[in-house]
Amino acid sequence: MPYGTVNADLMTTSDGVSSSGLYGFKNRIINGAMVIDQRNAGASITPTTSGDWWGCDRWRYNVDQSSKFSTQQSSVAPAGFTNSTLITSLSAYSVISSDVFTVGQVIEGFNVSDLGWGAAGAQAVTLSFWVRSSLTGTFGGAINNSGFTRSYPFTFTINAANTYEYKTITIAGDTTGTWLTTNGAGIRVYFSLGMGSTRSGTAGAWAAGDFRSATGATSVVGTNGATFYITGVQLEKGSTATSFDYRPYGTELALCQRYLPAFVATGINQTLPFVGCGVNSTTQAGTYTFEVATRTPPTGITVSSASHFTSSRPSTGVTVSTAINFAASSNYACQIEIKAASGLTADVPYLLYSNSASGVMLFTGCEL
Amino acid sequence: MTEPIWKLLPDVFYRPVQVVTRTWPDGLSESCLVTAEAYLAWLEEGNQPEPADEIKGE
Repeated sequence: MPYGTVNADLMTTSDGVSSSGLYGFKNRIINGAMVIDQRNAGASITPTTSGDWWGCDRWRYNVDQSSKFSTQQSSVAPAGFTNSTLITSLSAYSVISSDVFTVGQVIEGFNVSDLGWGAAGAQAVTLSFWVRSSLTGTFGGAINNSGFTRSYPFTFTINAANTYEYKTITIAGDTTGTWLTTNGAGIRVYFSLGMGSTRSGTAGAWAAGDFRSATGATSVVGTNGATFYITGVQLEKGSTATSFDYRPYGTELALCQRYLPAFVATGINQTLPFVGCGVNSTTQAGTYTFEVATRTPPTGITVSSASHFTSSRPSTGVTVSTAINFAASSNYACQIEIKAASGLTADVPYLLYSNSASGVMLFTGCEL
Repeated sequence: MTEPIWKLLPDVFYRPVQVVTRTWPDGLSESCLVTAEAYLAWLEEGNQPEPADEIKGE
């Protein structure tokens, strides 16, 4: 028979699972099951320049060399999951000392403020995930703070090729360093796809400095055609990995849209949350209202194609857009400019509709 | 795909901030503040934006 203790309002089971981690926002990772992919809709992307690239919502790639791997949302997943992220190596690249290749997620400070990191009493966390690779051996990753002055490199072992395995890593809370509890970067979680020696550190211990993986970890980009799948990623408070926190799809999408407000059409003539007003015969401008308050005001818009959207007002038909431009924003809405070749009228209201099932409008600059 | 050149957008009353835009050959278009990360990174590579079009009366 299970037993445990009840201390005031905190229940703790005999295996150390605390009720504080079982309710509410147990998993601090957003889209850990890789079900949301607003940017790419399952399409493969290849990071063709060094810098930051985005795959499934909230999952970010840091790459120091171009075109070393491709990535996409995958339906190859372990039991209980429908999706994963797949990374495929495009060459047999030998990393140089300064190279960084990671897939990871930066957790907003507000969402880890209860951990008390950076002071005595810092709470332990447990990272758990499902992983599968064509390679076997010891792989690496790391936890970092916002300023990359604190790092906890970790390892995990993949024992069998092309087979999903469940991994858990418990990390003692960091009692030093600066850990943001704001809308900035709270905790950075990285899985290494290939790491230079400069950014590799000793596994299983906190260190001052910027380490994104453990020394000696397997390099996915080092083997041409190597595959690496990951899903079910969970970071929770406590020293025990509990079952994956399945959240409603709508909840997960809303959580993602705090970092990437988006309209993704599934057909034509679908209404956008937008009301505008004609400026002249070729321009209307108006406000797109976000479903979720964003982390920070967006700084830009990416549109699949301006022609995928039309301006419309009652009884006059539609006018196909020729350009859609950012104008101004807040955490709640974005002012945008819609251009057309002709046919718009000043001082009359306009709505905005999809003109293609491929229409996508992304509001950028809110991600971490 | 060759990376297109960013272009400044003209100042207008409903756009109180300076914005740039570019369109890729496949139709994908981007527009952002001149302080956005992606644009700043592009400038750091030594690139310069195209000037804004003059606004003509209608």
